[in-house]
Parts: sequence; C-alpha cells; structure tokens
Amino acid sequence: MTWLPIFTRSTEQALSGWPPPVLDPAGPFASSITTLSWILFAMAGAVLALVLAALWVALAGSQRLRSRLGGTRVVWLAGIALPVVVLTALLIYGLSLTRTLRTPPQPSDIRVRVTGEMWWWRVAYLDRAGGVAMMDANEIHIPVGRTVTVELESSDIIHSFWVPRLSGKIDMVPGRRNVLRMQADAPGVYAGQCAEYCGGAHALMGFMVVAHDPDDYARFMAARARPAPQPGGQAARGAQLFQDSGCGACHRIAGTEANGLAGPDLSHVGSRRTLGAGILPNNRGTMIGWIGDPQSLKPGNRMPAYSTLPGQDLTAIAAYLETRR
Amino acid sequence: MRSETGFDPALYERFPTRGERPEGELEELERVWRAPRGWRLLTVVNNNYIGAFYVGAAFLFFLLAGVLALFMRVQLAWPLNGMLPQETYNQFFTMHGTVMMFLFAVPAVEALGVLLLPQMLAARDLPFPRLSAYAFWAYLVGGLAFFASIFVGLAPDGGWFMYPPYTSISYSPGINADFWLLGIGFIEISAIAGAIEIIVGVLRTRAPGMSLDRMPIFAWAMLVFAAMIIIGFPAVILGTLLLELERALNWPFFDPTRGGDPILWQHLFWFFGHPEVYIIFLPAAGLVTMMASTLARTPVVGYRLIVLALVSTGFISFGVWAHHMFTTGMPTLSVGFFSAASMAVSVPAGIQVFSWIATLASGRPRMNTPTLFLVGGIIIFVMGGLTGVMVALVPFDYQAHDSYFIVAHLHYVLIGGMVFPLFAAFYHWAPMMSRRPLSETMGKWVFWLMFAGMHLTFLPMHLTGLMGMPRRVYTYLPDREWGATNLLSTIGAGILAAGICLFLIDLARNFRFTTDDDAGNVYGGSTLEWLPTGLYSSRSIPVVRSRDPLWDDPALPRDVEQGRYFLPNSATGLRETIITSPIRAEPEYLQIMPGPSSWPLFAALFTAGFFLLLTVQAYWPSVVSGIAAILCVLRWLWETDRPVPDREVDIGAGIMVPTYVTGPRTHGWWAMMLLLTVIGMIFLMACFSYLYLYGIHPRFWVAPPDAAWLVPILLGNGAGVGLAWLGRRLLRREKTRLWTPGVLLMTGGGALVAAFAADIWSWRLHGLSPSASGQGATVYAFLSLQGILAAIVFIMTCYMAARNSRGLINRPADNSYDLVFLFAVYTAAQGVVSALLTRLFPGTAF
Amino acid sequence: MNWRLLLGGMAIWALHFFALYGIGSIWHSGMNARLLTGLMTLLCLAGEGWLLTRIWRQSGDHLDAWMRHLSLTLIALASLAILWQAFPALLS
Repeated sequence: MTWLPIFTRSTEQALSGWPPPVLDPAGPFASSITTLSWILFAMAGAVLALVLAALWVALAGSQRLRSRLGGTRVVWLAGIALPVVVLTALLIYGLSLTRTLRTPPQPSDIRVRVTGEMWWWRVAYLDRAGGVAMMDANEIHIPVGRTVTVELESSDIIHSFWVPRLSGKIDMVPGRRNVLRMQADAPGVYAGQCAEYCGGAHALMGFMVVAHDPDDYARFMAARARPAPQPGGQAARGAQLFQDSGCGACHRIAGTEANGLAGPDLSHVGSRRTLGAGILPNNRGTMIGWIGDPQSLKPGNRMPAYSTLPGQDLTAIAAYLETRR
Repeated sequence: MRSETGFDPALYERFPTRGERPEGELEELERVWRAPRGWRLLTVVNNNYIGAFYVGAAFLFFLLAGVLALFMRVQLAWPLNGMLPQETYNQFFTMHGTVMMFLFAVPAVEALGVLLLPQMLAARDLPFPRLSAYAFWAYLVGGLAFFASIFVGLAPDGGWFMYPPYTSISYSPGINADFWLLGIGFIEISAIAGAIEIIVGVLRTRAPGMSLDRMPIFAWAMLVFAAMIIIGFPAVILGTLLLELERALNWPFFDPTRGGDPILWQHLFWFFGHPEVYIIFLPAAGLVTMMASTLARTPVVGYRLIVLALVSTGFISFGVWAHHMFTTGMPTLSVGFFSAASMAVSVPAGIQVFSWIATLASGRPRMNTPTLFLVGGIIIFVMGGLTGVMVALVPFDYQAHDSYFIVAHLHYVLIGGMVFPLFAAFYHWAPMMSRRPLSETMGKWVFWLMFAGMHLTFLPMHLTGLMGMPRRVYTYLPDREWGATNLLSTIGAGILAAGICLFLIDLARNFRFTTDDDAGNVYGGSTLEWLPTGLYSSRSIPVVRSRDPLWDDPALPRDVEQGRYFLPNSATGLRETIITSPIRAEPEYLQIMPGPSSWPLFAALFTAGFFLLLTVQAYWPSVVSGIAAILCVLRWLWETDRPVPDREVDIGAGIMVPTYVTGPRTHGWWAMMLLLTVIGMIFLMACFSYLYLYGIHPRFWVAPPDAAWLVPILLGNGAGVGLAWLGRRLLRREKTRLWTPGVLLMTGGGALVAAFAADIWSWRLHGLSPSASGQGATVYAFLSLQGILAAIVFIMTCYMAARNSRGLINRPADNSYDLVFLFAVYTAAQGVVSALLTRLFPGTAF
Repeated sequence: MNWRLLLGGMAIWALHFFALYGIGSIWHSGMNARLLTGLMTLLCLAGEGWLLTRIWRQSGDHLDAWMRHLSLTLIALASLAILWQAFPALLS
C-alpha cells in the first residue's frame, strides 16, 4: 500500500511542517483567527516572561528586590489589575470577532450541505432555492473569492467539520442544522477532518475542499452537469458487475439504476482525489484494493469486503468507476 | 471579642492549664482509639488509616491510567503504527481520561482531605468515620472492577465525556458503555459522601478559637471543593441516570427523532465537567499555598485574597461549562456569556499565582524537593492557564477545540495545577506518617525527569494541534506532517514515566507507614498537623490563637502533648471530638463517634455488587445485593445515636458541654441538609432537562392528565409530613401507647408512598408512554426519582419504628427521628413540585 | 457579619449569570435578548451596590472586620464579572 502526499504544499513546508495550517490561513475567516492567535501568543509570552522573572526574583533575587515583591501590593497589581486590563481588552476583541465570524448567511453565498456519516461526508450542492443540484462525497469544490455557507447536519452521531486553513470548526449534531461560513482566496486543495470523536474510524474521517478559479469552477460544474458517457469495453463489463454484485443497494450513480443512499455517492467518483474519506489517493490500484478489502484499509467502516470477486472483475469495476467523472 | 454561641471567649485564657494530668488518662485515650489488628484492620474507620489507604488507592489508579497513556503515546509515535488496534485505542483513551478524572484526581484530593484535615483542625477524626470507610471501600472495589473491564475488552469506548448518540444503544450496543455509566455513577456516590463529611468536618470540628480567618488555607480549599462537589456532581449523576434509562428502557432523552436532544447531555455533563477541573485544582492550590508558606518560613502573603480567590472560583466555575460547547452552534449571545465568565474565572487564578510568588519572595525558600515541585508546578500551571485564556476566546476555540492544542492545554493545567503539587505534598507530608522522610537526592532527580518529560511531551502538542491534528485519533496519515512532533511527545512521555518510576523506588526505599513514631516536622510547618499525634490526632486539642500556631507559640507542642488543652482524655470513655461553631469555632458539644465496624465494609461490597451485577445484566442477583447493602447500612446505623449516660461532661479546665444535642445545630442535621441539597440539585437538573426538551421540541408534547389528580397527590404528601411532625411532637411525652412516634412516622411514610402511587397511576391512565417522547421520558424520570425517595423514606420510617419499639429513642428529641423527618419533608416537597411542574407547565397551553 | 452577607455578592453574580443563560436560550441573539440582558445587568449591579452599603455599615471585632473586607472584595469581583457578562449584549 502506498501513501502519497495528496495535498498541495511545497516541499519545504512538508519537511518543516511550518507554518502549521491554523497559522497559514487561505481565506478571510481563518486569517482573522490567525491574527487573533498571534496576539494571544504574544500576550501569553509576555505574561509567562513576567511570571518567570518574578519567580526568579523570589527564589534567587537580591534582598531588596525580594522585599519589594513580597507583599500584597504585588498581588493587587500583577494578580488583579494587570489581568483585568488585559482580559477586558481580549474579551472585547474576541466578542467582536465572534460577531463577524457568526454573521448569518448572505443571499450571495454559495450553498453546500454536508452531512456527517460514520465515517465519511455526504455532500450536496444546493441551488438558490435550497434544492439539491448535485450529490457527491468527501470532496467539496468551491470557487475562489466567494463565501460559501456550509449547512452541517448529521445522520447518525455527532461529527465536527473542520478545514483549518479556511475557518474554524462547527459540530454536526443529529436533529439540528448548524451553519459554517468559509472562503478561500487562492486556488488549492485544503485538508479537512472530523474533529469530534465519533467512535470507530474517527481517525480516518478526512475530506478536502478544492478551491478553483472562477472560470475553472464554472467549467468544472458544467462538466459534471453533463451526463456521463456510456462505458465501453472493460468498463462496460464493470458496470454490469457493479449492478450484479449489488453495489447499487448502497451507492448511487446518477443516470443508472444504482440509487442506494447508505454509502457515498459514486456519480463522480472517478474525479475524486481520494478514496475512503481522504485516506488513499484515488487510482486503479487503490480502488481495486478498497473494493476487495476495505476493512484492512479502514477498520470498522460499513463497506463489506468483495474479496470473493476475482481480480479481473475487481479491475473491471474499478475501470468502470474511473469513467464516472 | 464577640461570641457566636454564648460561649465566653475569656474561658480560653484558662489554657494551657497547669498541674499534672491524672495517671492512666493517656493510656485510656490510646485504648479507646486503638486500631483493630490483623485481618480486622479491614474494619478500621480511623482517618489515619482510611486516609492513607485512600491516597494509596488513588495513586494506584494514577499509575494504571498512566500506563494506558504510555501505550497510547507509543501507538501515536509515528503515522500508521499498528501496535494498538482501533477499538483498543478507543477504549484506552476513554479509560485514561475516565480513570484519571474520576478514580485518580478527585479521590486523590479527597483522600488528602481525609488524611490531613482532622490533624490540621486538631479534630480527633472526621465527623462520620464509618461513612469515610464506606466511601473508601465502595471506591476501591468499584474502581478496580471498573478498571478490570479493560482486560476483557469490555471497557467503554465513548470517551470520558460519553456523548450520545454515539453512546446510545443504537451505536454502542455492548455493555461497555454501561460499565461507564453504572461504574462512574456509583463512584460519584462515594465522592459525595466524602464531600458531605469534609464540609461538616471543616465547619464543625475545628479546634476551639480557629475562627474562619485562622483556618489553614487547605481547609478553605477543601470547603470550597466539597461545596462544589455538592452542587456539581448531581448534574452528572442525573445525566448518567438518564442515559442509562435511555439505553436500558428506550426512554428517548437524547434521541432527536423522538423529542430528545443530544446537546442536553453535554449541558448536564459539562455543568459537572468544568467545575470538576476546579474541584481538582483548588485543593491542590490550597496545598501549594501552605507549602509555600512553610518552605519559605513566612506567613502566607495575601491570605484574605486567596480566600477571595477560592470562594469566587467556587462560584464562577459554574458559569463556564458551555465553553466546551462553543462549536455546537449555540446562539452567539449565549456563547459570549460563557466566554466572559471564562475570562472572569481566570482573575482568581492570577491572584493565587501572585500570592504564591509574593509568599516565596517574602521568605527565604530552600531549594529542596518540595520547593522544586512547587515552583515547577506553578510554571506549568501558568502556561496551561495562558492557553486557557486563549481557548476561552470563541474564535480561537473554533480552531483549537478538539485538537491536540486542547490536549496540551488541559495536561498543562492538570499536571501543573494538581499533579506537581501532589508530588510536592507527597514529599512534604510524608514525614507526618512515615518513619523516614523521602530522599532529597532522589526527589530532585524525580523532579527534573518529570519536569523535562512533561514539557517534552506536551509542549510540542500545541503545535501538533495547530497543524490540524484532532484529538482521540488512533492513528494519522503520513502526509499530514504530524510525525515529528508526535515522536517528540512520545519520547517525553517515556522520560516522564521514568521520573515516576524513580519516585516509586524512593517510596519503596524510604516510606514506612506509622501512626505514632513518624519522622516529624522536618520542614518546620506552622499548622496543627505537625503537633505530635497518634490515632486520636493530638493528645489535647489546643486553643488556636493565630494562623500559624506552631510558630507563634513554640511551647504549644509540649503543652498539647502534656494534656494542657481541651479534651486531654476520653471524657465519656468513648471516641469523641468537640463540635464547634462554624464561624468562630466555639465549643458547643461533645460528639460521640462510632468505632471500627465491619458493616460499612460489607455495605460497600454489596453496593458495588449491586451496580456491577446490574452492569452485566444479572438483575436478580443485583437486587439481592442491593437489599443486602441496605440491611448492612441499617445494621451499622443501629449502633449509633444511643442514649448517653452523662448529659454534660468536663472537656478541660472545668468547661462543661453537653454530650447529646438535637436540632439544627447538630452535625447530623448539617449532613442531612447537605444530602438534601445533593438530592435537590439532582431534581433541579431534572427540571432543567424537562424545560430544556420542551424548549427544543415543543411539537412532541401532549396535554397532561387532569388537574384533579393533584388533589390526592397534595393530600398524600401533606398527610405524610403532618403525621411525621405529630410523631416528633409526641416524643416529648414520656408515655405513648399504640400510636407511638414510630408508628405515626411509619404511617406518614406510607402516605408519601400513596401520593407517589397516585401520581404514577394518573400518568398510566393518561397513556403517555415513557418511550414515546422527550416529555414521556422526563415525566417518568421525575416519577422514578420520586419513587426512589418514597421507597427510602418508607425504609427509614420502618427503621425508626423498630428503634422506637426497642426503646432506642431519645426523649424529648431524637436525632435519628429528626433526620428521617427532614428527609420525609423534602420528599413530600419534591413530590408536590414535580407533580405541579409536569401538569401546569406547559399544561394545556398548546 | 454572617455568611449570607459574605456570599451575597457572588450569589447575585450567580443569579445574573443564570438569568442571562435563560434569556439567551429563549430569545437567542435578537434585540429583545440584548435589552433584557442590559436590564438584568443594571438590576444586579444595583443589587451589588445595595449589598455594599449594608456591609459598609457593619462593625465588630477582628473577625468581623476580616469578613467585611472579604465580602467587599467578593462584591467587587462579582460586579466585574457581571459587567463583563453584559459585554456580549453590546458586542456579539
């Protein structure tokens, strides 16, 4: 099994890990939090330095310094007055920023509904009226420079939607609909992950947000809106096998009889970058491996193993799925 | 000088008395307090033993949970490591958190309270020694059985926070989650028992003259700690009860498809869960204050400000619970309130830190092992506090929440705020109960290994979190660059563990438990626990005239040992301690204390049996075990509250106090009021759940039964109280025939049961099923709570009737009767309120 | 001095906090909620002021003085927390 770097960060970054995604924002929502973070780090550094200096004086300072430190005046000044001033300022900043971040969705926003599932993401692109325009899974495509309202739901237990470079996280709670707004200012692939423990394979519940230039985005969505070509050759045999093996009971492929909703929508699986909710690069080999033995790749997931199918059948199904772009 | 009770403070001037004490007095004191030997040591109830067992057991759980953490660190050392399978890892992190919080941190500080408080307050023992023994054994047996679930793969895997719906029966069908709910629910009972004991102990058994402004800071801290347990723990007790009811009986408290709500659990859990952090931190902070003063050989700087900090933390920490829920989509305004309260709670923390620094600066601290742990702990705690301020700001929390940044933050707070102070305390107080102090040389190694290991483990985790690594993941992919910092953390964990191993070696080499020939006051402490002590604490109970009595009166240890203060003997030939007034600590009466008994031990074993058998779904054996537990408790109580021959005794220098007192000033009354506060908080949380679910899903609600049903419910409850009250009046008459107080009380208990029966009957006829909706579930939860209380009242009234028939009742007033009466009044009140609430709100208004 | 006066300042804080929690839960973040929050804050601050004047007039021995000082600082801290809690009504 090969694990390849999937995400587009330069080599030096991959080696050093710096800057970490939370401090390397790619949009206005995340970058306002990054600014706050740096202010907080500076505050913490200054206070820690003050405490360490005071401790040093208390333990090893000269008699004169120590006697100035050893009274209730210090407690009033450093323990009460200073925190009150600093915390008041931070509170005002934090509350105003919260208000900005929690601005209600605007009519101009692009709407996407993401539903948390054990352990993958159901994605529905919504039109203005809120109708489902396109279904997908584990990958969200957005245009650069536009604010996206993500409606967060859950069909089973609590999950949490987090793309550190684009915004903070909001939970997906059964019975509720939460809203998160995000925006990317540069094209790229942004890693996301479930942040709320959801049992079993919580660790392997990733996804990605792909930001396109506006033109590119328009082309991409238009291509997806066109019906997929009829599969030929090996892929045609794969389509038949897909149907005969009962895959359609759980998976939907637009324009075919496969209309199951229990598993990820496969209408556009061929164009996805990853398999298994962000854990494997998507290619013929990994697809064959996944269908044949998903449990060894992602223990506990709901997909049964099709290990009884001969290798050539698995290859044919993988070839068919590749055509669904 | 003013007086609180009418006691004349001038009488204190009679002490220290002059002249020799009579021969044989000390020997009798020793005989009265002697601990049972051999295997009967298991029946011991004295705080010196129970406290030491308690600390030992808590430390054992610290080691066990620490071993789990090491496994987890190895698993996370590099990406896609296959050492721990997914389900095992999920069980390990759940158990690590649960055991550290419930079986180590809270019991450890409670244990230190049991061990140190009587000595610090110069009380002979805590006021309810058998309750301490019961609480300890229940905790030990329950805790070990709970931990053992991990060896058979049945350990819970829902996280220490157990969020439904993941922990509901649909997603966690095994009995793993039940182990958590029943095991932890049960252990909380023991924490509450300890808290009641500590509050009464601190407020009512202080040495005469130890007014509130002279109390050792640790006693203040334990007072606030115990009060917070009384207010906070009921929320999680109710939560576990509701979740277990949902799992076992399909009552949908947390199921949104039937009018429940998963966020309700989060409110209940964190209303306990965040105060829990301060519950752990405050006692440790109290120890730090006291040790800083001792080690720097100077009085505490800012004593009053520290008390301010402790008290205000006790309050404000109840306003921060939802900062664990910033990302759940709460209204922006509400989120702001919790953010503001989270800011406010850091002000008291700042006060404490700078008081410690000022205390160290005003003296001459010696750089020995306790000082190192103290200073190291302060540094670590401050770092954790600063990241705490960061995550209290909502926008930052949107990024940091549920990431490794939080893992780093909470470990800094808890290790700096509790673990390092605890180790400092081990070194500092070991000479009080060991023949030899622990080794200074090894202690320094222990400190530096732990300090370095701690930072190496948790400092990089801040970065790991900012890199986007979420918590509670059993592995991670190599392409996320999380490998390097994780490897560092794993190496650090190894170093931290090495430090703890070295501490164990030190303990094995130098710690020799003793109750009489300890190493003594090697650090020169100023408070009363450093007086020469035996199992009865100090020979005589000194008059406290300042905050640092041992520094201000160097002759005190000798005078105390020669019996020149209060109670130099056993005045009644029984175990006893002086009950003093809560504010000024003026002597009020002599409490006769029970001695060793096997019944608390059996009661604990059967209580544990009840819960564990319930967990493995052996229902009938479980019921039998539960009944056996009740019988053991009644048997243990049977020996208590007996008529005392001497109504008044001399407690030294001719000062006479009564030996049997009844009414609101007794320690029993206080304990009952605290217990009723706990039960009342459980009820209040149930009311909150009821209103909350109505607010979330009103469309699931139906009209209640006819209001006419209120008549029998109100009448039954009223009659119950009336009959109990009448019986209490009749105690004043010497002769009563058939309608004895006991019979009247029992009839009153029957009336309460009848009122409950009317309530439940009305709902049965009405047809609302408990599994139908959130309304049905909460209504039946109210009924369940009421049913439990009514059953307890009935058992209690039968017990009182039995005592009455055997002549074991004091006239004109009897403490046991009073306590049953109080419980019955409360039960009636709760029955009335829940009947009114479920019928009148929201009523037929929709 | 008694314990009611000692804990009164913080008790008012608690009243204020839970009232605000209720307001936020019922009226969410709308204008009504903000107005009610402000009103509650003014009421509670007035309550703290009333308590302050009561305690100010207390006298007695060393212990009374000590408890009086403690109560006053508790009132000050409680008032600060109450004030901070009103910020969200204006800012968020």
